[in-house]
Amino acid sequence: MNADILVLVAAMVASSLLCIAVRNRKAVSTVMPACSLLLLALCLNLCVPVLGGEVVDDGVFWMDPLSAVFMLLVAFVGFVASLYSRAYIGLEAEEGVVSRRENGVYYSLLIVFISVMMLTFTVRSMAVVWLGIGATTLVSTFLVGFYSRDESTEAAWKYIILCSVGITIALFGLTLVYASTVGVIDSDHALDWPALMEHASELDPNMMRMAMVLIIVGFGTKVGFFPMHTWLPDAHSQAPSPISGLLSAVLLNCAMYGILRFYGVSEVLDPGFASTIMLVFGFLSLGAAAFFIITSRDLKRMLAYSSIENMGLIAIGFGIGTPVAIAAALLQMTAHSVTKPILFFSAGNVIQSYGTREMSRIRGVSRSMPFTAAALAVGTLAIVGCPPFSVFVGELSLMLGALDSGMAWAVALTVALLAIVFAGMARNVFPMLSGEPPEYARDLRGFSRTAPLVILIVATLALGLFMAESVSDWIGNAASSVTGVFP
Amino acid sequence: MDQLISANLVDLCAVLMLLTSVMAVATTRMKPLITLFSLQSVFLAAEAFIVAYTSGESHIYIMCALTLVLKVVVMPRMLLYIMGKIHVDKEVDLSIGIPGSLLASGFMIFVSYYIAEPLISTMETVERSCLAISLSIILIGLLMMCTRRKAITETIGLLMMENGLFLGAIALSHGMPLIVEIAAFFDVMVAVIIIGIFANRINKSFNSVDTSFLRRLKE
Repeated sequence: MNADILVLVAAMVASSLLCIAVRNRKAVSTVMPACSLLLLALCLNLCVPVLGGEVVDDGVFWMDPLSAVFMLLVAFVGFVASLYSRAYIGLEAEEGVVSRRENGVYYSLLIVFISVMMLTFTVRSMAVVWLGIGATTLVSTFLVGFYSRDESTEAAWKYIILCSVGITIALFGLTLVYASTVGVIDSDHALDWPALMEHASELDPNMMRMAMVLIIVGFGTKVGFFPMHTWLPDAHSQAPSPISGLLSAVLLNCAMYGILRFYGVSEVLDPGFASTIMLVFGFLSLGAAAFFIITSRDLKRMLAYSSIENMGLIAIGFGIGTPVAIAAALLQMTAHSVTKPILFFSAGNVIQSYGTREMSRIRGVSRSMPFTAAALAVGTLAIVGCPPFSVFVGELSLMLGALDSGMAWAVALTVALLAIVFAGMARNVFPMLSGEPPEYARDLRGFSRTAPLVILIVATLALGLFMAESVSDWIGNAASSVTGVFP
Repeated sequence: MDQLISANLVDLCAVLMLLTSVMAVATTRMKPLITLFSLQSVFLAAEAFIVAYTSGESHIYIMCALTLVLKVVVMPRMLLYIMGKIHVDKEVDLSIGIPGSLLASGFMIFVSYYIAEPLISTMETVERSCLAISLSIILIGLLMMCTRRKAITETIGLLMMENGLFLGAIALSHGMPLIVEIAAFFDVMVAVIIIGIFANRINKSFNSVDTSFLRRLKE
């Protein structure tokens, strides 16, 4: 079992070194997606048995179905984002916006970024998980500030400052968790998640409560909970589009994973405490994002707010806290991760062709770039929760979970806010598709521009239409490992 | 008797750290601010030394040494170097005045003691005030980050928050397993390097590291 993890880690190191070593611009843009495809394959090999319920337990490494779900999503979205980078960054390199050196730096950082995110989910100690989440911020800061424009520098600055503050607050929470284990767990293993879960009911409850507040606020800053979200729209709109997709679809999940592990422990010790905080942040984020989606004028900022909205929905699922709702939240997270990159990538195509992110200045996409327009329309319908896409299934099961636990008010509020989101997204996106395109708008084609969108659309459709039995079992297993209670 | 002296010394160091934080809030010039930060780090190192000596946990000595090297010597030098290189204005740019900031930090200390009260009632005497004080230092650091407009003052606010965090970590848990401490220092170090680079770039774009110029990204 452990051989698989070691092979994966070795592959990460080797492919990072390879991407740094390859100097040729064209070569590196092909080598890097190939490397991330290899990582995806190795990750599948590792994760499929784990998803079935087998636990990897070996030294520093420890994985259960929950970590496997997160890891698989990173590997999958990482691969499509690298493939799309080949088209997106390739065009900018041809136009001279990105120099040969910057091109090399981009691909090296991208593979390191994906590897660090994947590694975060493989470790046993929550202290190392914290370190992984911190490291993802450091690596991705350079990707957010990749263009040397003033606005990108500003976005990267806000990103690193706010996320560093969040990470610091979360570490203080971890210290308190450690303090609450004194006398219960041997100090060398005090922050190991399995040990924490095993002794959850013996921890100091007062200490744990304060720790939970700090951890949810700290990691929540990086998840993008309102009102700590202010870095998120800036970073997502200023980063290159493949990176925006990656940030939105999987980076936010990494911080959510940090919260979830402690959420599980806290719910055993003190049922209803952590989940109430999650519920409050969930509704705050959903409500604020609904408002900002309606009023936004910048295409990528609107998509960023839609990520905040989805993180809010996921938090509401954990806030309800029944096994059904937790599974629904994980399903919603999976659906968001495979759907959101469709929007960021097709937005990337539009932005490169029109040279603006201002939605009022983009018209006639369906005539100038038919495939992108179709992807944008499909992506929009999918993300606002139209059937038959996966987000619909996620949101529906979330409502069912809420009804199940008698929280009709939550259902009513969520539906009302989702209706606002639906109206806002539709009002902003669909006018861009119709009308007369300006003369300078050109269609952008190519395998690496089309293939990622096709793969993602197939994935979101497949998840929505034929929720394979194995997949729902996997999600169920992951949900059970959040609470540590296996049916 | 020995126990009592060390407990008092631990408390003294913690209070001195809090005092430097409050003084930092009241400082209007950049250089004294950096000096105050390194002074606070000296007290943190002293605190670590006393706890290491009394608890006999040798890995806290490493933390003490790391603090002395990184936070007392390297980081202040680096901040001064950045300041010299980009000709930053010598004055701290405030968005609320000194009296307001001091009042707010007083309030933060009050809030910290209020929050920490239910936790510290069950604790040993040594750790009692340290939790509340470390929380105060973190909150005051946050306040500095929110009310000071320069990139460098934001950085110092973050570093002071980290100092508060380490005070808490040493006093509360007698130092978490060593890996965390080294990891945390590593993280801070890399963060400062990145912040240095960005301070440079922000300077290039705006001719000043005043982050109030960072107001281009809006709805």
